[in-house]
Amino acid sequence: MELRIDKVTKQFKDLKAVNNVDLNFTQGIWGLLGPNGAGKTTLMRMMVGNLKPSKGEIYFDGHTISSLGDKYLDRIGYLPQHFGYDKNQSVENFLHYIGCLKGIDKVTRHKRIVDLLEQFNLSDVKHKKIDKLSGGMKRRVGICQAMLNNPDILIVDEPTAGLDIEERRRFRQYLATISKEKIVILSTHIVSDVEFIANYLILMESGEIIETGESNTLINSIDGMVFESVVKDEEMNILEQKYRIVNFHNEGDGNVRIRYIANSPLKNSKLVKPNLNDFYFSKIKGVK
Amino acid sequence: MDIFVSELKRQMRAKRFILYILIAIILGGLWAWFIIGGRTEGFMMTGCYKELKGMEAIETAAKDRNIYAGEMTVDNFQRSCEVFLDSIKEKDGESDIIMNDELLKLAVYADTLIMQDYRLKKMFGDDNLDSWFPRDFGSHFYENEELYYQKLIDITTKNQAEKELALKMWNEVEKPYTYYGGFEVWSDGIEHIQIFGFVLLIIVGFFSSGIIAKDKECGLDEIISTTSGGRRKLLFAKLFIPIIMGLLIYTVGMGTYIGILKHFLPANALKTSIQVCGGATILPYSLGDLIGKMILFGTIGVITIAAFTTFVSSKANKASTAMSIAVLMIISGFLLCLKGVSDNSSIMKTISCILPGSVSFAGLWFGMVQIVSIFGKAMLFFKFHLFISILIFFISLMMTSWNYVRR
Repeated sequence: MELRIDKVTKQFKDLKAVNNVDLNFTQGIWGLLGPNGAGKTTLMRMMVGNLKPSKGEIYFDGHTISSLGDKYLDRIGYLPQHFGYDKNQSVENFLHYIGCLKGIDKVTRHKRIVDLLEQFNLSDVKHKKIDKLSGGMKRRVGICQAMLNNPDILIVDEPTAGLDIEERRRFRQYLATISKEKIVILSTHIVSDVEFIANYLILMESGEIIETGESNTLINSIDGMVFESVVKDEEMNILEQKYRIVNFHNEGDGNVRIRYIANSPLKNSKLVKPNLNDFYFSKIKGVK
Repeated sequence: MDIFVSELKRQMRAKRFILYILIAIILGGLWAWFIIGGRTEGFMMTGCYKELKGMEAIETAAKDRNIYAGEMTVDNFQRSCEVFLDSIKEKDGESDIIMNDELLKLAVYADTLIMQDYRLKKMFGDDNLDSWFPRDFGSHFYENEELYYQKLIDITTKNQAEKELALKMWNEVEKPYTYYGGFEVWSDGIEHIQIFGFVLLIIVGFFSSGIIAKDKECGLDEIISTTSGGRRKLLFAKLFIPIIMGLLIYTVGMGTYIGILKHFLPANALKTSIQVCGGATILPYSLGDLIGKMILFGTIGVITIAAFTTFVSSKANKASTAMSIAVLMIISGFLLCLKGVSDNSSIMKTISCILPGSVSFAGLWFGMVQIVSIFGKAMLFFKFHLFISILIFFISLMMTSWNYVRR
C-alpha cells in the first residue's frame, strides 16, 4: 500500500500554498509538522480529494486518486482541522449518518459503531448531542467517524488543537492503537503530539517540504549540535541573534538556563541528546 | 434510499418538524379567524348589519342576499335599480339612502350596478360621477358590460393576437353572472391566500436556506465530501427535502386556512362569477376556480422558492446569507407584482415573473386584461408567469446539482 504525492502544487491566486511537493507514504504514522500557514491543511485537503492540485498528481497504489474516485474514498478516513457535525445530532445518529454516506450497510454499520464507541470510551454518551460533549470527546467522535469504514489511510488534521494536556495524551494513545497496518498522517504544529508516536516525520514550511524521513534518523542528524548552558539574563538578546535557542528556563539570581543549537558551543556548555523539538527548531526558518 | 432517509431524518427531526408544522397550522387558523371573525357587512354606508360581526354578520347578510341568488337576470338588475333609486332621499342637496328590506335582498345587484355605472363613466370620460344612473339602467346591464369590456379590451391590448385572446376569454364568461350569499367573504379569503402564501414562502425559504449552507458553516460538508457516497449521492435528498418540506408546510398551513373557511362559509358561494366580486376581469372563472388556481400558483411558488433557496444555499457559505437572499427575492417579487399591476408596467411585470416564488402572487394578473405577446403569440399573463416559474424551478434544480456535485 502506497500513497504517493508527485510534484504537487496548489496555487490560490497569488499564493502558492503548496509548492512542488513530492512525498511517498507507506504504512506507519506520519507526523506532518510545520508552523501555522505552512500548507499542511491544503496538502491534506488535496490528499482527501477536497481540493484539486494546480499541478502534479496524487497516486494511490499506482493510480491517480481522481481516477479511483469512490474506490479511493472508501479506503480513507479524514478528520478535518475543524471537525464539523450537526449540533442537533446525537453521537450515535451522527455516526450512522456518516456510515450511511460511506456506503456501509446497516448491519455492519451498527456493529462497527458499537465497537468504535466502546474502543473510544464513548458508549455512555452515545445518545448525547455532540454539541454537549467536551472538546476531547468531540475529537474522539471525529476519529470514530473517520474510522467507520476501517480505512487504510487515516488523515487527521490538527486533531489535538484546543485540547488539554491529558486529552492530548489520550488522543495520541488512541492514534497509536489504531495505526496498525495503516497509513496514518497526522498534521500538527505541536511537536509533542508526534514526538513519541510518529514513525516518520515531514517538516513543512511556506508550502515546501523542508525535511522528511524516519523520526529517529532525523533527530539523530543533529546529534552533537544541541547544548545546554547557564547564561546571564542580559546576554540573552545577543545570544538569540547568534544561536537558535530552543528553550530557556529562569534559574534565579539573573541566570537563565538555555538549550540551543550550534556548531560551536559556548564555554561551559553541556552536550545534550537531541529531541524532536530541537530538530524542529533547527530546521524551521520562521522559528527563532 | 438509505442516504435519503438518513438525510430526511437529520433535516426533519421531530422537534424541528413539529415546530414548522405547528407554525403553519397556527398561522392558517389565525388567518382564517381574522377573515371570518373580524367580518362586518354593510351596503353603501347605510349602517345595515352594523351591530353584527363575524359569522353572525355573514349568515344574516347571506340569508337576505340569497333571496335573489343564483343567475343574475336582467329583470333582477332592473328591479334592484328601481328599488335603489327609490330608496334615495334628497335632503338639503345631499343624497341619503334609506335602507329597506327589498334593497337588502337586492344589495348585490345594486352594488354591481353602482360599480358598473362608475366604471362606464370613468371609461368614457363622463365627469358627472355624483349623479345616479337612469331608471332603466338595470335592464341594460349586460349590454353595458359588453360595452365596457369591449372598450377595455380595445385600449389594453397591444395587437390583434392579444385582442383576439381577450375577446375569446370574455366571450367564455358565463352570462348571466351568478352569485350566492357569502361570496364577499370568500372573495376576501381568496385574496388573502396570496398574503398568507407570502408568509408561508418565507417559512419555506427559512427551512431551505440551511439545507447545504449549514453543512458548510459547521464544517460537516468537508467530511461529507470525503465519503464515497458524498455529495453526489446526497444530492437527491438535498434537492427534494426542501421541496417535500415546503409542500408539507404549504399544504398544512393553507389546508388549515381553506379548511376553516370551507367549514364556516357557504359552499355554494364559490359558484359566484368573479366579475361580481368587485374588480373587472375578462376571465371566465368562478370563485371556486379562483381558489384552485391560487393554490396551484402557491404550490408552484413554494417549490420554486425551495429549489431556488437550495441553489443559493449551495453557493453561500452561511445559511443566513441564503436566507437573506431568499427573503429579498420573495419580498421583491411581491412588491414588483403589486407595482406592475398598479402601474400596468410591462417591465415591472416581466421582472416580477423572473423572481423565484413570485408566481404565488400571480392572482394579481386576474384583474382587468393581463395578456402578454411572445413572438406574436398572445398568452394570458398568469400562464406566462407559471411557465417562467416552472422554468426557474428546473433551472434551479440543475444549477444546484451542478454546483453541489462539482465542488
